[in-house]
Order: sequence, then C-alpha cells, then structure tokens
Amino acid sequence: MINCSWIFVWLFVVLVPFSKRAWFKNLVALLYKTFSRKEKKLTFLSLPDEIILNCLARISRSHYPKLSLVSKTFRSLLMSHKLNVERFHLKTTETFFHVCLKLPDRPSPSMFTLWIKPGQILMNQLEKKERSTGDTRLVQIPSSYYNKVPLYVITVGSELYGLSQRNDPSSNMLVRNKEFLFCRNSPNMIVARAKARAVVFYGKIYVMGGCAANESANWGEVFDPKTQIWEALPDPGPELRFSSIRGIEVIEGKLYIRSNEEKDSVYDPKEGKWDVAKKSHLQCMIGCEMIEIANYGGKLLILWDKIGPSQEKDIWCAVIALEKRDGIDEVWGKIEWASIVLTVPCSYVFLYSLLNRW
Amino acid sequence: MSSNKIVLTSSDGESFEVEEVVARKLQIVGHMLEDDCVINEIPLQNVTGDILSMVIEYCKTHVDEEESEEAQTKLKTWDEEFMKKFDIKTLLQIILAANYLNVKGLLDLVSQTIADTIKDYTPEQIREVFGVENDYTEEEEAEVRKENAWAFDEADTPKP
Repeated sequence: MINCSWIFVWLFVVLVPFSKRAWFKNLVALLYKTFSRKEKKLTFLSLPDEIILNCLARISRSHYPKLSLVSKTFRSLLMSHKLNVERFHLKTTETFFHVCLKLPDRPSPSMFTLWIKPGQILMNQLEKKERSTGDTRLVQIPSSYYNKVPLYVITVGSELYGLSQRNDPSSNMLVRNKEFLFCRNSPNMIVARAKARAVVFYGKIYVMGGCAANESANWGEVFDPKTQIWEALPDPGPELRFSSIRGIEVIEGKLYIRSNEEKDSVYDPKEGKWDVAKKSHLQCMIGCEMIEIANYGGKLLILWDKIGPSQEKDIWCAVIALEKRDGIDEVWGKIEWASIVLTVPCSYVFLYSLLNRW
Repeated sequence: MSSNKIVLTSSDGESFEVEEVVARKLQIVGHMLEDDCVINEIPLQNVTGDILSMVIEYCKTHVDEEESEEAQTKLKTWDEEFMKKFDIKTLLQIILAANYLNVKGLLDLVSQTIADTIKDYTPEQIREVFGVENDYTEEEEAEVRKENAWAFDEADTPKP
C-alpha cells in the first residue's frame, strides 16, 4: 500500500512539468477515451440488422438512388439480398416495368426499368410544347433502383417459374412456391436460351426462341410440371423461327407469337401445327412505329415512340387509371401522366417489355 | 379480465405497476408468465425507466384492440400523435426496447415512422440526424453521385 502511494507521488512530481504540453494533454485524452467505459452512442446503423432492414424495407425503391448516397454501409444494405427477403416478408414488394432495347452502338441488348421520381406531381405532357422534365425515366439496369437482370416469371398454380433474361444463353429454369422466397432449379431445358419468352397453356409451359444451338430441332419446347419433362415442339420452319419475340399470347386455344420481325406466327397445341398469323392486333394510330401496353399495378401503361426534334426517337409513356362507370358497359380512362421516358437513336429496336414484382 | 397486477422494473431501478393484460402485450413478459405463473415482479435489464414508461403507455392504449373501423381509426390517430412526441434519438431507443420486449405493434409503428422520415430527408440530413458516418472516400462518393445523377437531374431528357 505504501509502495503504491509512493509511486503516485513520484509520478505526480515527474509528470507535472509536462502537464501543459499539448502532446501530454492528447495522451491523457486518449487514455481517458480508451479506458473510460463511456456508453456507445446509439445511431441508426448501431441497431440490430433486423431492425435496420425492417425500416429500410418500408421505403419505396424509388428513393434508393438518393439513399445510396448516404454512406457505403447504407448503400450495401440497400443492395443486399437480406433486404429483398425482408420486403417479401413485410409484403412491401413493388411492381416494376422493364423494357429490353437493342441500341445501335451496343453489341448486346440492354434492359431498362421505369422509374418515377418520388414526391412529384406528374403531368400529361402530350399537349405541351416543352420537353420532359426527367421525373419519369427508363433507367438502365443495373442501377441503385433495380440492381439485377429481372427474371421472366410464369405462374403455374402456386408455383412461380423464372427464365433468365441475361444476354448469355442458359438452359436453367428456376422455380419457387408463391409463399416462399427460396428458389430451386427445375429440370433444365433441352437447349440453352437467352431472353426466351414463355406462356402457360393447360398447365404446361411453352418456351420459345432465344436458341443458341440446333435451332431447327428445338426452337420451341414445352414443360409439363406434373411429369417434370421437357419435350421439343415441331419445327416452325425457317421463316417462323424468329430471332426476337415480343410476346406470346393464348387466344382461343392457340398460341400467338408476336415477333419483332415482319410476320407473326400461331401454334395449335392440339394439332401440333404452325401457321403464319396476321400481324399484331395492336396498331399504332398516332404515327409511331412501336407500341406496347402493360398492366402496371392495375393501371393501363402505354409505351410508344415518336421521332423527336433532333432526328432521334423519343420513347413516350402514359399511365392511365381505368374506371368502370356503373350501369353502363363503359370503361373510362384518366391519363395520370404522360411524358418522354427515354430518347434513343432512330435505328434502335424495341425487343420486349417485362413486368415483375420485387 | 384479470385484474392481477404485475410490477415491471427497469434497468435503472424504476418500477411500474401495470395490469397483467397490459404486461402481456410485452411478449417477453407473456412468455415469462406462461413459464411460471406466480411471478409478480419482473426485472427488465435492457430498458431504462423513461423508455419503459413510453412502451407501457403504448401497451395500455392498445390493450384491447377492437375490430371496429371506428376504434381502428381512433387508435391510428393516437399512434400518429404518440410518434410526434419523440425526436429521432428517442425513437431509436424505443425501437430497440420494442424489439427487446417484443411488442410487435410498437416495433412496426416506430419502423414505419423512421422509414417515413428517412424517405423525406436529404442524404446529409440522414447522416446528421441518424448519426450515420459517411464512410465513402471522396472519390467513391463522387462516383456514386455520378452513377445516380439521373435521379437528380432536372429538366433533362433521359438518355441511355
């Protein structure tokens, strides 16, 4: 005990002359900081991960571009798979509208997602002279708004099947139950495909196009989820083996294939026969070359293009709320907004659109 | 309805006597009561008295959640007013407590309030108010700003 006291007295005597020096003060402050059990400051990122994700998953992804500027950690949380899982559980997934375009200066097709700037009053700019304000735009994937290539999703009963929409071909098809997020591989397609389109008819999945190899034998194939077996469809012939398909629809027991080429085709699954079909029922009356419609979260979305002032093409988009007037068989539409969402070189090609929830 | 009273004690020694139905809204307490039904004093280690009193106030108000639309609207209004009382620092403490005490309704309410605040704030405000350290280097931040410039550009026609 006595020894101890002497040590303190000695330290005091030795250290007093230094007490006014800056380095000494810093040293003392550092020692104090290190050894004092000061309570850690409570900040948002010091909360447990599950709480942070619970908060972030409630914010619309349209805010994510802004939020990704906050910090690196914040950004990696926003891009994480854990956050997708949390959104799934909280049921805060959102509808996304994507388009796939072939731009002349790029070797492969590019995908874009429709982004609407949050907190803005959107206008119908159809009748106005001024150009777009940039509040609605097609944003290239990947971005902080949508950071991976979306799957093409087909629903059969309670199962969701997903086909890759990447530029490199794959024979992989993923499947998951609607209630769960966990995906597993379903049996591989006979051939690898890139950006294939598909449709469900009597519980079977018909996949067409995007073939990489042996096109004539496998241009289309059909999967039966009950037997888990893929079977090749008959060859539609060189004329109807389209290299790019806009979409497939079932009309009166037949599959109509809308192509991005001169012809369309129709397949009769009962007879196993192909035929040439009249070009799309949807025609553009306003002097555009491309027109696409989609069900955007219960609203009608129309996309079309028009030559702009500088010999480029403006891609326009309109979102229309539909209302059935009671008593009469009439559907009324109210244009919520319409504006230019992208300007592209004239020689671009619109390949297809895609909707998903994420 | 049981009028059995339970005493909840906070980490700093403050005690709150509440009805058992209120205490059971704290699922952590509910589980303890199921394991051993003779407890009437429960120490809660990870929550201070001032925060616990807020949690209890919430639980008292939500003790009988009626299905009727009118009651639901009334509760919703109360929730909104209740949230307005706190600054972000307190909200972070409440959310931590709600997580520990396992009060799902309160956890959801505070999460939503924080989410709504974050979505309306600028990145600078979020850093300041939520104590988020900007761990980007200058170059990285400039890069991310460039990548996301499309989201902030005004009066410009979108191009790929």
